Amino acid sequence: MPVIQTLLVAGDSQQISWVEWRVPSDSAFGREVRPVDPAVVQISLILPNGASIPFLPTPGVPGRFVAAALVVPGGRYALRGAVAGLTFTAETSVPDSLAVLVPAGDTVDGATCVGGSFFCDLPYRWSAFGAVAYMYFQSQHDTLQMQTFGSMRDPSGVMTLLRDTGTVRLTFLALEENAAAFMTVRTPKGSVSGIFGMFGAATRAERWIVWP
Amino acid sequence: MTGVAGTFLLYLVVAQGGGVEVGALRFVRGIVVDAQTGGPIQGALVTARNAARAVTTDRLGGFTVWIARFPDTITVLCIGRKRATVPVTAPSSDVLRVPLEATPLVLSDVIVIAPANAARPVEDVGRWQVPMASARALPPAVETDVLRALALVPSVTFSTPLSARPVIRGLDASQSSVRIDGFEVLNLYHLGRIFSAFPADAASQITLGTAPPGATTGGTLSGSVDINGQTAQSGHLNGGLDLSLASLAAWAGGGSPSTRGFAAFRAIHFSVVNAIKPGIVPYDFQDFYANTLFSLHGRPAGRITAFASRDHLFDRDLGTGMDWSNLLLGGRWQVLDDGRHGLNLWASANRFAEDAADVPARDTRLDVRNRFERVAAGADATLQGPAARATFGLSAGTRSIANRIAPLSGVEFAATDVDLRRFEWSGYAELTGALGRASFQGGVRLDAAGPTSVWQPRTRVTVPLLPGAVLGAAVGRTAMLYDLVSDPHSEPDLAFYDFWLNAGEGGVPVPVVDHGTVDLDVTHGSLAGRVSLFASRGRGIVELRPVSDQRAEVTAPFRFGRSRGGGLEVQVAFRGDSARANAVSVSYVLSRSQRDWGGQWVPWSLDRRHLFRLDAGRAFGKHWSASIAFEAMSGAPFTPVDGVLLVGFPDPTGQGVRRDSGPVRPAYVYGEENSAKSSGTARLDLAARYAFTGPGKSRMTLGFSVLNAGYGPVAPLRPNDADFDPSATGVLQGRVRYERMFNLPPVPTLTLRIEF
Repeated sequence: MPVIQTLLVAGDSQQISWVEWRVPSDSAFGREVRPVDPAVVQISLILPNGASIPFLPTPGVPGRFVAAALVVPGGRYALRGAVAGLTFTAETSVPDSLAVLVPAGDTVDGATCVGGSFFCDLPYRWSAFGAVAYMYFQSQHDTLQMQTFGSMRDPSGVMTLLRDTGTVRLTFLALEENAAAFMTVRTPKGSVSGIFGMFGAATRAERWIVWP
Repeated sequence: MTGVAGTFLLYLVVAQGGGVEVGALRFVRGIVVDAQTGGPIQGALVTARNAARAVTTDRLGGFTVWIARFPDTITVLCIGRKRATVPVTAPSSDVLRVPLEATPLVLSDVIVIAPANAARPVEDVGRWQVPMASARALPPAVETDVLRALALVPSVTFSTPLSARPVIRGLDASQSSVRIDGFEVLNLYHLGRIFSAFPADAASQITLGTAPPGATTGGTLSGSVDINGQTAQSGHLNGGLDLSLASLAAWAGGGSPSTRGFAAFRAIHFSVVNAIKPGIVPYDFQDFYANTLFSLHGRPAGRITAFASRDHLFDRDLGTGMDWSNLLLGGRWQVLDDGRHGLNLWASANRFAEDAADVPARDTRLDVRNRFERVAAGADATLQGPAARATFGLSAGTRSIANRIAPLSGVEFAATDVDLRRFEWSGYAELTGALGRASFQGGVRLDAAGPTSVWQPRTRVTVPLLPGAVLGAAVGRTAMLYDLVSDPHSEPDLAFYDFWLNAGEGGVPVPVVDHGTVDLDVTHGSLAGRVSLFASRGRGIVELRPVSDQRAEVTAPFRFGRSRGGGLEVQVAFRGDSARANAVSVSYVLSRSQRDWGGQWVPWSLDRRHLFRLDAGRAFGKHWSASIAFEAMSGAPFTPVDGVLLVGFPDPTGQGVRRDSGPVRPAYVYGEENSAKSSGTARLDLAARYAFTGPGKSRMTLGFSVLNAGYGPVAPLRPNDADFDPSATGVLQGRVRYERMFNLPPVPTLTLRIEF
């Protein structure tokens, strides 16, 4: 059975969809993609104005499909198509822009992250209408190596970061219901009718943290 | 006017016997008491042999039986006690006092004893009585437990040996009612619901009533468990001590014939490496029970009951832990009982409090603050005549529910902060009578809380078929006006959490279940047997949404639906006597329980198709006795894994989800709900006891038991964790494996019981 994972991100001009076979429960599995032959994959993104944008296979990256579409906050989108003869539909609403109130500035002084030697807590407060959960990622800006990440429901609280040196990227995502139900729980919930998978949406914000 | 006229007419029918030879019939009043303590015995079967009438004793041991011709003989039977026979030569206004002695070995004595040549009282349909002597004969785990002892009743199952929650005929334990001396208590559990919070040494008898009960009983969907407290002997102080490897219990009682008091206290402390979950578990609890029995003119007239328990698991001050407590204060007074008219007044207050910090709940961690408080008072009135008995009742009270859930991590549970207060009241009317050789009972109950109310009609009938064989049947509706929602499979976690919902408000339906049951009871010499057929159909049933429900469009943590179930129970018991001091009970249950959550009927997660139990005990000489308990069940349903998917993470730089590089997380895609079945479970428990006389004529019993002596599989299967080392590319995990939720090694128990 195929699985589809599509996360629309507001502001991005390209939207990505992954289509692959799930691993049968009696087979060994690793991290590799088990791509579905692009010849049997037809996916379209339906924009709020009704226009249909096709997802096209990415050459050299099996399982990856790209639609050239700019997604806007607050918009309602649909996904239609068929994979290996199975037709599917899904809908999602993109949350409003993620307004990060704390930390307020674009650059965050690492000294404001308080706590232990290896990990520390950084307060946050943000809002995005339509979001039900939030994710954060701490990553080196040059290597895109993810250092820590987490998810939360509360729009205010503290996030746990790994103490580092230099400047690192903090990415925040405001997730609507479908994305939250798939990506922030141990057992993902599907939001696509017809096949199992996610059609979710997010808005993104960034900060840079400079460690002392 | 119609209501007044109707009531008056009913009075004429009941109290005046409807014009049927009123003058020829006379009633005989009496009380049935424990021969040793003098305490009242509830639920004893009283039969007037020639009159062919049978009744059961009330909560204060009282009975009234109507007799046409004298002399007659009154026979009193009670589970776990010797039969008493009292000749009645002439009508008398005196109250007959019938003391009953306990029988020495009563392991199998949980089947209702059929009256000879008379219809069984309708109250006995679907009812089991477990004397504490029977409960003690079961091999204990740590110590005798009043709820775990219900394993002697075929209608009751437990999800695993780590649960003391009685699942009655395919409905969840939270849908039953647990009472102490008839007063409702909530969540009567210690340590992850492995043990009941009621000290066994304070109990005299446990009564299980399956649904539908009489109209007098409300607040339950599946049935009720009523724990009767001990009554102190009058005259001198008596008491005892019970010591196990982890607990200490003590009890004492005494007083005058008019006022006597009993109190029991138990404490336990664990700070040991837990057999189920690795690590040190600092845990302690204390519980306390006390009652005072008041008697007037030699008859029990009233009782005050007090109960308290508290549990302390880990330490909330240090970041993680749980504290919970239960309080109950209840009183009952028989204002009037002249044989024809009776009036009982009662009042009770109970409170359950639960505070948890950072407890595990599936894949998240929660802070929990729960409060449940109820204060109520009521009156029960009886009009009794030669042809029928009418009972009316009314109660009113307030219920307050506070339920605060604060998720600390994860997004599976939404934050909940509910604070509800409701005025609630209930009323019932019930008519019990004889129709030829049959006994019948018809009644209706109305429960109301806030804007919600539910009518519950109920009918029961019994017919004697042959000498020693009685057929009973009951149909009726049960309802609850609030939902207590908990994880049906919380084992092996020690922590637990609950959600409370007010039924009938905020889109929460009122749970209603319609029941039908037929019992055939047969006694022949030393053999007693019961065959029961039962079926139920419910709606508005609530459950915590399982992890395997992977529909994102449904985000609420609860789901509502329908239930249906039914089955066959067969229990045969051989009861020994003083010459042959042995007892055997064999039971088999074939049952099915299903739920429909909006799609199709699926097996309920705790459904067990086949259940077989063997309980046996034998005395060896004056000092030694031994018992075994064997239980085998077919496997519980579970939801199989259909496949594995690798969940990608969002790309921080803006490429949607990344699957080909960066971290990924394996996750299961589940198949059809509960479409697979665990392999069966089986366990064998053994116990041996040595009884002897200690200093000062005290009676001492040394006990040794082993739970799961056969070291068999005792828990259902579940898929192992979907995980692999994400940092090591190419590391594979093999196919999905299913493992037991936990393994239980043999658990030995050593106990010392001292009575003086």
